[in-house]
Amino acid sequence: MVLAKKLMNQYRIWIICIVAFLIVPLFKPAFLTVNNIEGILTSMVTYGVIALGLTMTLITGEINISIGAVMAFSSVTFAVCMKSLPIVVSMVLALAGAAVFGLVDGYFVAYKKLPAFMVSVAVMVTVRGIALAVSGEAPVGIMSDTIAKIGRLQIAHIPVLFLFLLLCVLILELFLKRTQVGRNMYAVGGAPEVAAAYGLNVEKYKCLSLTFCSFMAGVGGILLAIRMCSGSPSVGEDAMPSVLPMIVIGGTSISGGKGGMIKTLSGIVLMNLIFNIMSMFNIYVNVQNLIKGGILLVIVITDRYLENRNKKI
Amino acid sequence: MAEEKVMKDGALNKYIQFFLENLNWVLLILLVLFGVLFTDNFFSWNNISNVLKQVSINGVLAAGFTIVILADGFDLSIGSIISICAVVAVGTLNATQNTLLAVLVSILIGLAFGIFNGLLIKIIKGNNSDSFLTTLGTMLVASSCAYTYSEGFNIYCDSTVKAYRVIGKGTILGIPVLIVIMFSVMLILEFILQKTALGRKIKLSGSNRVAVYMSGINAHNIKIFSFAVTGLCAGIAAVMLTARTGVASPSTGYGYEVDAATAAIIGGNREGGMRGSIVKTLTGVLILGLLTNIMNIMNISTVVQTIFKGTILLLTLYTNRLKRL
Amino acid sequence: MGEFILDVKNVSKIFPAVKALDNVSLRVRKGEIHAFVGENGAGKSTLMKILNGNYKKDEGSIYFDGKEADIKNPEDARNLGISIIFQELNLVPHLSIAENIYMGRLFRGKFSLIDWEKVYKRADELMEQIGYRMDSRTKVESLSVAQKQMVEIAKALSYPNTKLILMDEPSATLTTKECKKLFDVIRSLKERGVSVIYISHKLEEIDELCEWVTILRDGKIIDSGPISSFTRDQMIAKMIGREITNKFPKRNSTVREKEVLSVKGLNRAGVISDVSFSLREGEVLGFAGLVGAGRTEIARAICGVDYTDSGEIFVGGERVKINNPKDALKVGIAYLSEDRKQEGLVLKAPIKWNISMANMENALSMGMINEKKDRQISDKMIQAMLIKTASMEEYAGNLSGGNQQKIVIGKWLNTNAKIFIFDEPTRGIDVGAKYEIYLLINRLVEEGRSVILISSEMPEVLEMSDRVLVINKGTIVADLSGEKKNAQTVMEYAI
Repeated sequence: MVLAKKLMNQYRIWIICIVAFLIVPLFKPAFLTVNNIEGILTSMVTYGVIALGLTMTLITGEINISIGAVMAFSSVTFAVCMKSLPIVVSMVLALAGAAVFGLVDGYFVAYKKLPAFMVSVAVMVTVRGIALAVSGEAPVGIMSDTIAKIGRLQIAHIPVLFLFLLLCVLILELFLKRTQVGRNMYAVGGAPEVAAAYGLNVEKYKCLSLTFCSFMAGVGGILLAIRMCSGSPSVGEDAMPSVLPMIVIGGTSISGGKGGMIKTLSGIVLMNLIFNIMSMFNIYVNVQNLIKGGILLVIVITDRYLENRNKKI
Repeated sequence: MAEEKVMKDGALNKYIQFFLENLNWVLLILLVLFGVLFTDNFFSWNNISNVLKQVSINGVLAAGFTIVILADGFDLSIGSIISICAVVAVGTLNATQNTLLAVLVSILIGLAFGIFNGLLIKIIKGNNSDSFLTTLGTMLVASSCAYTYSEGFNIYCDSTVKAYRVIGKGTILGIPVLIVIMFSVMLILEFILQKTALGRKIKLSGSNRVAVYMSGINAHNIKIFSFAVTGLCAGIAAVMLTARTGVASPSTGYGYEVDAATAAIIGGNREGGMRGSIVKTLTGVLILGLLTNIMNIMNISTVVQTIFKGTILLLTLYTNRLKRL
Repeated sequence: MGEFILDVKNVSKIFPAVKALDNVSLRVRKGEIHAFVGENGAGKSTLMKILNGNYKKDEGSIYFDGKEADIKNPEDARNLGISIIFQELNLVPHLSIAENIYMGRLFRGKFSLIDWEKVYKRADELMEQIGYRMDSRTKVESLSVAQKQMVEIAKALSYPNTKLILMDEPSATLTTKECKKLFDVIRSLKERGVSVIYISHKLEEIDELCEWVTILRDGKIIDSGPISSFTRDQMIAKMIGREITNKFPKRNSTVREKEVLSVKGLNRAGVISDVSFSLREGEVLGFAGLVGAGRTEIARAICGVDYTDSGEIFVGGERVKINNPKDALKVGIAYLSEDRKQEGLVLKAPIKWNISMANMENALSMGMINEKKDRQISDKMIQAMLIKTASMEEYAGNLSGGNQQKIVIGKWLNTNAKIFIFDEPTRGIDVGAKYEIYLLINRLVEEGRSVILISSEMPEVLEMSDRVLVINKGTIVADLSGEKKNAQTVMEYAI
């Protein structure tokens, strides 16, 4: 009995997802069609990989809001490079750029101790500008059959891009749970003074996690470009408000030191399900914002309230 | 929390500190020089009033934002608050044909959201990074409200109500109303900041809210006040914007929070900065405005301007930290 | 040479205001359980921190296992074979016991991935070796303090060449049963040839557990020898006996009859229990006790800085409700925190602002800050307190500790406070400034105010107080005045 309760608690998000899958088709049979499921899976991909990157950052106790801009940058850089360079080179260039932005973030936050959110605002503004510059302020089409094929490719009706997301989840979860560096991320975020006392270079890890976050935003941008066959400088405006609720509802703590990729996956699945269901029921798009905001507020407030319960200031 | 090196004396350090402290003035003077050299009639009334008009809305917002920054907070929701205030203001204007009522409604809604933000921080006894997250939530909620109210459409000001548009396009004694509003708001806030106990409390609590609390000051209410001020300024800005353009939409305020923060920070304000002031913010606002102006004249695309602005923001964030106070 | 694991020769450590260690020499044998005793501030913690690499010694040399050791940081210490267990435990709460033990050194298996099986197994084994069987997968945050200590010991042992473990007041928060368990573990360490330096105030415990004792006082070694060669009284005498080097100013007032403050039944689960006392007009009431006994907690509870479970406070005979420092100030109570830099001052603000912070209304006219009044108030305070500064615009962070404390006092003097609670007012302050602060305290009571003096410096709390309350584990265990107000008695109750 106790075990059942514990399992229910740990996997509650997944359970909610399963319940949704069981109940919704009763009202809207269209929900369970191959088409719809494919749509859900595909929609999870772009913000999904970004969520994974941000999860890493949150675990180390920092935050990065430039993800949307970096995503846009990488999508247009990829698209522009594709005009004259091979696929792999284009990807490398886009990702390299993304990583550089992450490094700038990491440097100022981890080493110069500037507040993470402010620095990432500055980076966000700059990168958005760079994305606009690279793309000439307009979407850039990708004329490549290969890309188009990859975007539509499926294995047993499951989009390959989604499988890529799953692969990322697995590899990163492995990293977090089974490598020393991964475990150190948790120590650095959970109790930085203790970590430092045990010889861990806290700055290095924070810088690393911030760089990785931007890198994943870069990956997300490329995936989006592949799916849409075009890169656009204006995407990702709502990246932060969309990705953060996925992560926090999945169980990763904003304070740092707790969380994981599979947890985030559960959040990604749930949030996308919710929005898909809402559109099934023809609920307006703006309600989505209300829900995102509501989830964020509820979770941040409960998390912080409980933590500061015993203090008066 | 990194131990701030509060004491470092030595001749070189003194010069560096002086330079850092007045960096905003240096930048401003440079830009003015630039303007004088590269444009005709830089100091003409026409040009000055144009520049001031352009920065007026950001000026109001940045002034409010300064208060929040000095109190060690961050308000990401300003843009969305402008949107909801804008649509409701214009909606009210059209429904009641009453300019005063529309203005009041806008201000009150802004104030309400601001107080909401402040209360959230009070409940969780949050620090600056918490306020970032809570205002992110508020931003979404306010944006959602704006979309719901306007059903996604633009709302155009009823053209028969001339009084409202005067706010955006008219003049008082030859000075554009927008400029008058900006300076009024800045004057009032600067007065509060420099001449009242409240202003001092804001700066003190931004630097060390625990010590302030232990000294018998209600540090929570100070936070609430500072968020309320930004909300209020958002409400005012919404009126200014819609009066100028004649239309309100659920994305009216989009992105304004970034410019407001940038202006306040470029001006040299930082959390708990004892020397923080709206004058500094004004320099920041002007720096941004002149940058835009000059780059436009030099035909530098808005895109490059954005990149420039972002970089300057990052650099001034860093230099602000280096300042002793 | 082979007998001693640790040989400290003439080590000194000087801080800005005080010489924490003065020519200290001592030796610890291999496999010895060695006690360090001394009052608060005697130098025990400083010595530990030097051995652990947190501090650098200014003079002297340290020999570990026969070789001279240069311990630059905790990493060096660990590699050498020295581990320390602080009172504030060094564990990451969200992680498991095993992971805390092997932090940064998790075992790798196939493909260089962590072999969790091995990690948990080894951790379980370690815990078992200590005699404390626990599932090493458990998250540390769910453990009790006693259990966390066991994890710390296991952590120390996980370094293969650990030969010396330093323990700082390990039994301070343990129950008797948990203590016994701790002792068994420490004895098993001895069996394995590991030496333990055990800092504690509990003389019975030391008697039961340790073989050798070193007594420190004011940064010097007073004596060192087998436990059996000291009686309890002798130990206490050596811990506190001293010539009075601190001079204390004479006070020209008497305590009046009127009760200005009365506290009844103050409770806060796990921290304070059933605290009741009263304070009279013109009185200096001392709070004595060991660090962590709960004195600061009592003060904070009275002033509304912390939550309380129950209790009543009466000021001037009337029941008052104090929910925050603002309420406290309204009824005339001022609390001068022991952490004056973080809780008493805004370091980046000018002195003038700090002085007027608790009562800005004084410097206002028509709602605006009147610069002239503001300057006058600051001037008055700076003169009155003899604050040494070039100008009142100087920012507080630039002053010495003594002057900073004076600013804090000046801040509260600028209010209507009648009851001043000083928490370690002279900590880290030079002798000259200390005397000036004592003069200020005297003036306060001479002018009819009342003072609660929380201090860990025995002479200070004894000489300056009319009456001394001894606090131990969150309750008041003694109310000493007249003849009974002496160091011996205080120590007996405090321990």
